Amino acid sequence: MSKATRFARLMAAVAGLGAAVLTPAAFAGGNIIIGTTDTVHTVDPARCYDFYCANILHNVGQTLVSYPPGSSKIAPELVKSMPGISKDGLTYTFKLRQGIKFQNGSKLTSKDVKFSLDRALWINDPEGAGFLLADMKQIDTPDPTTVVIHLKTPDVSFVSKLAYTVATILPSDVYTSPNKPIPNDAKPGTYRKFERETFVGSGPYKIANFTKDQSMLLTTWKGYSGNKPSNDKVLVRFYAKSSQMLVALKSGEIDVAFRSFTPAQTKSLENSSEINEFKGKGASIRYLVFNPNLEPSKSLKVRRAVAAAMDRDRIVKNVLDGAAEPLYSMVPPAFGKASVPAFNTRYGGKKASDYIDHKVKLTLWYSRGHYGDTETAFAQTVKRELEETNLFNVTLKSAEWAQFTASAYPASTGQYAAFLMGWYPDYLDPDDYLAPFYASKDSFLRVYNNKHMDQLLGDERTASGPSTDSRLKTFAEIQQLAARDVPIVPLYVVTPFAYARKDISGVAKTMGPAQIFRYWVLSKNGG
Amino acid sequence: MKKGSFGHYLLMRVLLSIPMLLILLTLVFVLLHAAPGDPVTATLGSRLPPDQIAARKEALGLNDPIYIQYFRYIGHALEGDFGHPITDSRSVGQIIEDTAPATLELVIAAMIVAVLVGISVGALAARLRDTAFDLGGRFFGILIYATPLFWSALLAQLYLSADLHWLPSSGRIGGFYVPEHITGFYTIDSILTGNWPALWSTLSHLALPAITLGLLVGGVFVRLVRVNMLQTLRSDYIDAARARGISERSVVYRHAFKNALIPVITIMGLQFALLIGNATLSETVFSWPGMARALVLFIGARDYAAVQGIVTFIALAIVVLSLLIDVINALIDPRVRY
Repeated sequence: MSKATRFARLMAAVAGLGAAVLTPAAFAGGNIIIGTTDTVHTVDPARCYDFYCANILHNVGQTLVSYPPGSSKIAPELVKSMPGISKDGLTYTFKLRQGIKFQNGSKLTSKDVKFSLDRALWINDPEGAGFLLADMKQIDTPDPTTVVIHLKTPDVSFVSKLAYTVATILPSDVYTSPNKPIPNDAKPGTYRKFERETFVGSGPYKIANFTKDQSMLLTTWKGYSGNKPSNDKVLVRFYAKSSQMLVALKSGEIDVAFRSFTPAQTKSLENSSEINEFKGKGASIRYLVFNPNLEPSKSLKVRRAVAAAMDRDRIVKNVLDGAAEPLYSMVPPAFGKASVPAFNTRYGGKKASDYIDHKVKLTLWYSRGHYGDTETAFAQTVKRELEETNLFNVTLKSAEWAQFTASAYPASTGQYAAFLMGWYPDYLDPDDYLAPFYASKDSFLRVYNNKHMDQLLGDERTASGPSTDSRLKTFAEIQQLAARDVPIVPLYVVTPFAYARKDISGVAKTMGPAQIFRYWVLSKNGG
Repeated sequence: MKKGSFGHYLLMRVLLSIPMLLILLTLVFVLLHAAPGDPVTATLGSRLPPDQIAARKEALGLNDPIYIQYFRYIGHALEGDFGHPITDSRSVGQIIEDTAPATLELVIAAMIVAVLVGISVGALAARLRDTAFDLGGRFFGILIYATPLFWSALLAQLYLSADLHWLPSSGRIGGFYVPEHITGFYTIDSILTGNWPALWSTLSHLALPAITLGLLVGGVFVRLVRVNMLQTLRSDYIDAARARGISERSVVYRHAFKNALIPVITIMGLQFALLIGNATLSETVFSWPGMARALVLFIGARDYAAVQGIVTFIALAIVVLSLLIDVINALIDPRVRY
């Protein structure tokens, strides 16, 4: 045998051995591996405000109240029952369940609840969601299992805000907190020194290992007070690109993919024999904003003509391959009766020519890339729909996100007459789809200034219950008023999808309206 | 210090690095500040009302005159303080500490692939000049250098991972096997801790990105080594060696090969800079959690404070690297000093 032949055989043997040893299957176990294209910047509840860090916190921590799998109705989590609310709507009394422990072994008491909520509010991290607790005036803890929260003003959505991860209950002997609110103009170091890079809570999993942008390993915590998770370990892998996650899912490197594939990738998985698709209820919305200070958006007739020209079904079909639903109000259909399709009622069957009779020049701005790969197609479809009326001459312009945000809003300084935006809710209440857009002072856009609207928003917040008839009626009135004046045109709500290999069960249970992907319900058949 | 001495040469190179460094830092600052918008509005604009945005900008000194911001930035960079991102609670220094080992591990592995492939194919092609191997080697060198990295990486992922299931498609390690942190280099940490599953997992994850990135640079080496070998083989001292009756094998590998490698060492240093640049693509395609991927993520998040810090660090690293190359060259080849 020649030297060259011997060398070639040796290399082949090494390659074969390497392939056998290094194959992903060689590393597979009975645990669940979840892939995502999202990132987790922090696991501190005072700082977390992104979808995926909140999702992790839902799996490792607990809040006073939460949403059970498959339900949009808020329910007790760390408390025995839903809170008692005073008649004036300013005082909420919670009774804690007994025997709950943190992952460091210390007992969870009312002192920890007060500490955690004050901490989140006082740290006041601009990246965080502490502002959701801004209505809190004072917290009393008369005994170890009773928490009394006093509000500055009544807010019927307050309980749903407590279900968000900013209100995760933390052990006061592990975390630190300022003793008073940190002002808005504080330097980052002032509030960051109170934030932790590791997490200790009372949820079903502990974070065993977290390497940013790479992976996070969660192991079940034996002291958890609820039902035992259906798996032992969950590994979350973070992908830079959805195409890599697709390869990993198809090759079996991951068991579940949650957030997010492009519409084309979603389509490619539709008829897979190895992978199941699970569809959730949409909460992320897209809309078109008018700056009423600039021409031609100043004109109510023009805004109405745009609203009448929009064919949402076509946008959903052509741009998103059906991975969305048409949106006829800022409140998505997942909110049931609170969602009133006011734009369909007012503009369904109408044409742009019913409102204007002359050609209008409009520049439509969008930010390419920020909202994903489909943004340019989305903007082009909106342009096409407007120009097909023969009443609009639309110029499309895109800007990088930093320039876009600096130039688009607030309306008083904004330079774009019309632009495309998106929104993901902070808490599951219709109020979060209305007040941030239509309130004259609290809105980040500030494109609408109507005293009657402000009054209605105040009314729904001070209603006697989250789903009372009077509140639903107020919601309907708000949405109809918004459709009448058209400061914003709602366009579509994105449908969330999850994909799992055939041997994974439990995914359907967690694809409910609450937008929480609960790892503890997932199991691997034979794993 | 005597002109032409190594000490004199070193001093001159260090002094020359100072204006180079200042120019680089100024460029980074100017380019990032020339872009419209500001990091606070970009990051928090859709969350906070305008008055709070203004307060945050004031707190970060973004309302200060541009020259004050510039001198503050230069001062901090020279002190080794690369700043604090808006979207990450870690300092840029900490982010670099967390992610640089991953990038270096990938770049070193890619360089090993490049050197092995480039030098062996190049040297052999020179020895077998004008044969089918030489032709194939030259073609390989051009083709591999001209092939876009993202394309070859995607092809490798599709065939070797998705179809054949031979290698993991992305990531740095199977998450169940992360070794105890000692150096941050998973290969080294796995060996030091005797964590063999972690070592296998690291090597399997390293294979695709290192090979695709390494082959890119290997293409340059193939052509360079071949040309240098051919030139060296035509030298007088090689003719003299042959005349002395030394075997052809010994002439090629013991006498010609070593001298042909001198320019390769210079290029190798420069290729390190190229590899760090290309790591941006490679780390993105393979979800490799290194410095370049962090940079891309911060660009995506419009966190210019972080982008400025990481770019500044990379610029500094390249200045130091080029200084080192010059010093090594001067040590190997004394003619460089004059």
